[in-house]
Amino acid sequence: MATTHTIQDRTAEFRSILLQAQKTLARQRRPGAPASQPLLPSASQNGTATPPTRKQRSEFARNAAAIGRGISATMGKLQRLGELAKRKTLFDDRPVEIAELTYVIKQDLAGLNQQIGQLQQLQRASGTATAKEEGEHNKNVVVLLQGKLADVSVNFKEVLEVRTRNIQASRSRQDNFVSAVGAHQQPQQQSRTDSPLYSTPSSARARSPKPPGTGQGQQDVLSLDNPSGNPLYAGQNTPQSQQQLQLLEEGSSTNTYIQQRGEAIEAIERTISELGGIFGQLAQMVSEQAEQIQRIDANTDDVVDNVEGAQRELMKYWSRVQGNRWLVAKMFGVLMIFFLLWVLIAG
Amino acid sequence: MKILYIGVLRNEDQPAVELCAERDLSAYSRFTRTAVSEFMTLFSKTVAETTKPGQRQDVEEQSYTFHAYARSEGVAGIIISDAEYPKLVAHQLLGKILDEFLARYPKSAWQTGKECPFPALKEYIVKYQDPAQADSIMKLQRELDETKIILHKTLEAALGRGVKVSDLVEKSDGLSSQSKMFYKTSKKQNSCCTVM
Repeated sequence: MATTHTIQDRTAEFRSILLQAQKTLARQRRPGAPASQPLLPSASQNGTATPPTRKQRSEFARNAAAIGRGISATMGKLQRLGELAKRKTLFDDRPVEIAELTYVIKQDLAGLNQQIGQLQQLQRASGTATAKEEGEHNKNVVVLLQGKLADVSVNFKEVLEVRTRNIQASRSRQDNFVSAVGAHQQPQQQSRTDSPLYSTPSSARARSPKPPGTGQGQQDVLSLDNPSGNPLYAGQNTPQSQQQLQLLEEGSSTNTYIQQRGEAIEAIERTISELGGIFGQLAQMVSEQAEQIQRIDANTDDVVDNVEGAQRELMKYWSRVQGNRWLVAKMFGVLMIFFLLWVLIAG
Repeated sequence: MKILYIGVLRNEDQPAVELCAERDLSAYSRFTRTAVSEFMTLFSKTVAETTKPGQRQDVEEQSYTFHAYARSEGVAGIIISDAEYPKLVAHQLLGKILDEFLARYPKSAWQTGKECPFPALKEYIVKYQDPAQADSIMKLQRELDETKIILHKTLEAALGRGVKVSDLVEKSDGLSSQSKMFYKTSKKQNSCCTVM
């Protein structure tokens, strides 16, 4: 799919390349070397000596090229269909176009399948007459085309699935609109779902005041529906609404009492959940601090170890110094002798 | 916030008849008490007559509020309180009282308009003087608020604790490095001067 993402028309480039290749081929063919580019269809069409095998190969090549073109065209249409299917608006749905595209793509896929089948037969028939590499090449080409066709059909199926899902979703949304409200909203609903492009009798009434405000798009349809819907509501349903209001009045005193109680209880519920949140925060903070406390613990352990070690060293030192008193005395004695000697010599 | 009067009246027929009542007249001087009491009875009868069965009503008159609740059986409960008293509590109390009254006295007992003594009213009027104490919802709310305040304080204390703990961490780090230096120095002392 990525390769045919942008469908550009590069036939002119193709033709120029073909011309160049022709020239090189002509130069190559004159020394009598076998054709190294058997798949260039127009080169073989130029009437140079075409043994039957070459004609078959070129026919094969032609068909393969045609199938490739067909596949890329179908993929383009499928992309368009995918874009249409992805649109989720209630308003701008274009079922006609989508149905057309679906039909065309189906036809294309069937035709391409047939062509590939023919090509495969051709390849098998010519399998004995051609050189080994060309036969393998043709087989590879057929396999490649079949793979591409399979991709296209898989994408087609996915797009159809997306489309059905969207249709269901939009239908359920429409149902929400229609069922939740009473009768007076249905005329509103109908004129809302009709796209401005579709002309139906029910929206004609909504569209007659539309021309002054056409520049504003969707919002206009919605805002105009209200005035068109309201006179309907006011005209037909006032007896009903009056009855409803009466009922409301009678029940209002108990209603307000019960409502107040309900509100009080809801306030209590909110407070309780707040409390729960505060407890959670507290727990989190304490657990964070626990890690720090572990660090303190490790540090104090280190301190104890170090101080003990230092004390040991100092004890060793002290014991040495203790034991070394004789040596110290002797050394001092030696120093005193040297000092006396120096004094004597100097004096 | 005070309740001045709780009463149960029969409002099936037009002149409503007071079946039982309790008054708290401590706020009024001895001389005006009888007048006030009559006024209360009269007004409660009026309000009971205007209350339709199955309806709750709150009437404000001068500085008093009349809370009325009429049951479909033909009795109505009236509470006279001052303006601050929460309506919710008053109506809850009315519902409770009427339920108890109807459970105690079947319809035949008060059909004739005879007086039906209902001593529980006395307890109620005393208990519900402070609605925050008596009403369950308000009690819950109050306790929850108190708990919330306590939790906020705890949270702040935990924050302070966190600060102290980080201080301790730094100090213990310093102590640990110093003790290490001490150890090294003493070890050096030992190894360096072997002569002496």
